[in-house]
Amino acid sequence: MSLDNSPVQLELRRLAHVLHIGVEEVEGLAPMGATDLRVLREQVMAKLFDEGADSWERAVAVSGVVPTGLAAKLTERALGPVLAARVTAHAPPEKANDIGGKLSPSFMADIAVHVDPRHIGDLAATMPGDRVAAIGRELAAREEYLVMADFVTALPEQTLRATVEALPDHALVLILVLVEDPERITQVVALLDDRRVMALRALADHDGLEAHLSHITDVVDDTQRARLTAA
Amino acid sequence: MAPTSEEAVAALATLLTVDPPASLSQIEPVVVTRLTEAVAAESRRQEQEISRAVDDALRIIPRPLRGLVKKLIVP
Repeated sequence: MSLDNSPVQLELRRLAHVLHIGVEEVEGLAPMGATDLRVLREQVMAKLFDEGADSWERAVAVSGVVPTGLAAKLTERALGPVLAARVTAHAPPEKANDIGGKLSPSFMADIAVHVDPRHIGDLAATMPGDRVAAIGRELAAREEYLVMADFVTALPEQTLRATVEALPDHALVLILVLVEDPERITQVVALLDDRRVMALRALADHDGLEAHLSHITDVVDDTQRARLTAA
Repeated sequence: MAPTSEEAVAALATLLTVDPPASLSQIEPVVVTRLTEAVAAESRRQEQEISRAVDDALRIIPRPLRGLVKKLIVP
């Protein structure tokens, strides 16, 4: 079985994810090509996430005068993940992470699922490694692999290491096939020790992830390809 | 009557308030229309979800202040 992880297919999956529909419903858009599909997806996200931006900015201003601990309690108990995700997207990343540091990983994962994907990079870049790792475990358990792929793409190296170590092997494979940048996939595989590389290879035989491993092997650099294919 | 390609793209452009990529005009109008409907449905779903979340959040605010707070944060 082959795995279609072409840039067009990944864009179609991301568009379907944003719209909460099956990828088959947008497959007819494939002839547009990956670049135009990305532009279209960004236009759709602007429509869905930018409306009412001034209101969310006012909410951020309110949260700025509330002590961090209280803001965190209010966020988890009163705002809920949907509103928290909207406010988070308009908060300075440092402020969002101050509050986020006091929220449960489970609630943070709820927020990550609802947050505007365009802001994941800024948030992830300033979040401590152990927090991202805990959220990553939650998201992996919920099979939110596209959200995790965005995180993995955006994380700085020290945070990336902690997150990769925290992820189960099969989740790591399912996330890596959704990461678009081959260099980033190479970096992740390079972080794995030989025991873990062997565990990934074993997944190909036992968990039906052969096509996924094959895709990862195809896109990494020669050094990591040699590790993934060693007998 | 099914929309023409131009009509389908124009409907999406109106919803997005921006011109989509020109390559969309090569796509079957029925596919473009389905996309427009999906964007509109997701937009409605998000509005309802936010409205429900705001109502839930306001329950912890003292009743006399709810109107003011809602006015402050609801788009």
